[in-house]
Amino acid sequence: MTDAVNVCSVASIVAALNERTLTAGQVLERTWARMDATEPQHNALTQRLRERAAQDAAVIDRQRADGVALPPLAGVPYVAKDLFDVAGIATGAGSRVLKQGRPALDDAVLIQKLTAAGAVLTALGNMDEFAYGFTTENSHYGATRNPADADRVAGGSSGGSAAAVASGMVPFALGSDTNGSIRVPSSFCGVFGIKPTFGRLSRRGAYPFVADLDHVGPFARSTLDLAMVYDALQGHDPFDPASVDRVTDMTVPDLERGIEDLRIGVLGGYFDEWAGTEAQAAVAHAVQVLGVERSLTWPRADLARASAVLITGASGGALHREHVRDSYEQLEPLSRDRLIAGLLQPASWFMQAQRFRRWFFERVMESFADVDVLIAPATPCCAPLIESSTVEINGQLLPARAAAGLLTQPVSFIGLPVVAAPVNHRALGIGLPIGLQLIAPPWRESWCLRVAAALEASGAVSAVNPNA
Amino acid sequence: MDSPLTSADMLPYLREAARLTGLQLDDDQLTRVAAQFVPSARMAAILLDFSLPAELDPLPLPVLSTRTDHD
Repeated sequence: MTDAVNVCSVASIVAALNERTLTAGQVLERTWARMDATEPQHNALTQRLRERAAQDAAVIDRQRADGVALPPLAGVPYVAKDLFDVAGIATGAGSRVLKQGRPALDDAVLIQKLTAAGAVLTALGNMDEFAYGFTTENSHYGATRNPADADRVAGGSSGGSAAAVASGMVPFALGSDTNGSIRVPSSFCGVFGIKPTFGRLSRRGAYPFVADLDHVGPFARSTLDLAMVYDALQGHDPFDPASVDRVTDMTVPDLERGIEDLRIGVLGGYFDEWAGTEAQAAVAHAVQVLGVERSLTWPRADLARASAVLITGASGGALHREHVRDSYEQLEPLSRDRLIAGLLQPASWFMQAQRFRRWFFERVMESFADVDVLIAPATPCCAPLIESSTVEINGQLLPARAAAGLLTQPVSFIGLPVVAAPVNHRALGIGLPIGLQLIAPPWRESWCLRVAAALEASGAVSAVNPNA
Repeated sequence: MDSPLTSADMLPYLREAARLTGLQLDDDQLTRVAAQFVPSARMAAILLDFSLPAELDPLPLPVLSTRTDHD
């Protein structure tokens, strides 16, 4: 009986625990076995937390034995990107320098919320150093390998988290997204991810990168699982200056509402120009399935991307000035020179980018007068080979690592909520996973999730099969 | 910009900027930084050419967070 439970599914594990067909301890044993079997191929993890996980699982099993009502994510194992504070462990953020620091005193707020919800933290996920990258090619920990093709990158910077979910190690994981670091690995690995509105989820205890671009959010294998986890993460944090005091918008109850009241459009212009063949096919299929007729463009999305690059460089470089000065040789060679280049930018670039942000935000808000949810590709192409220096997009040769964020950066630049949804790539004759962005106005994560659920119900989007 | 920027063009600026920022970088290190700096400089040149109204304030994202247009 217990073997029939899908331990790759949040909803299935929660149901099994409540129906007493499985214990949290049994779920955890299967998680370790799955990690033992798959981690050598994927290199998704930087550290396993066996003792902590065993204690947390035992708490859940005791609650059940005592007849206490189980919390909403009871016994569900997960992985957190290696930039979330875990009490007693030095937060590495993919860096050798930070790993030599003092242990965190407390868990990050999102981890506290997940513990309260009954979830079991099992391991930390590999990432690009300081979250500055789109590929999770980490020179200290090695590259995370894409579960769909081990010769290819998993995407980044939350690549370990995405690969852990795609390979079936855990049913969900936590990541962060400054310029695309949830959406890019979602697309490359073939799993769902959500980058909520800026200010929605607390970032306290998550190692920072760019103060006014950093977002946090989960990955999962289905829309329902994603919504269940996202709902458990919501809530105002008065100690995160960006956190907004709003009523939490529970999304699970809305998933079955359908999409008849939503006006859906497709983003053209820049988002079409920089979409390769596979990305265009992915969008075209979603447009057909949903019967989308509206197409619109965002003016100067190219400058939005440029502005995001400049703000990221300046902020990230300034944040790590002392690391560059004092620990140059220990920093990731793939991002060290970019960090320094950002640090040395003239202030006028940064200010023009921040001023442009207001102009762009106002134009984009005007576009939402006509639509509620917009569809765009998540990445220009499928996952490139590890150590690729270039990719070709529509006849143009581009730097592989930077190009991965071409389509995500203009969206996170203005903090809009996005669900990344993996298309059913095999049904489209595409050899590797690739994803969509479902984009809504601020605070309308539920609209993104409802469109994702409709596409999932139609079979147009689905997570990769971890057993394939 | 009248002619395409090159890494060599950037070196004098980067050398001085690094010094003023408290970094001691040798020529090899600066040359690698310059290679990363040039793409940003090209983006910045286009961005700076984009005319914005003088009264337009910068938008750091916490300001966005307080908007209620779509409530």
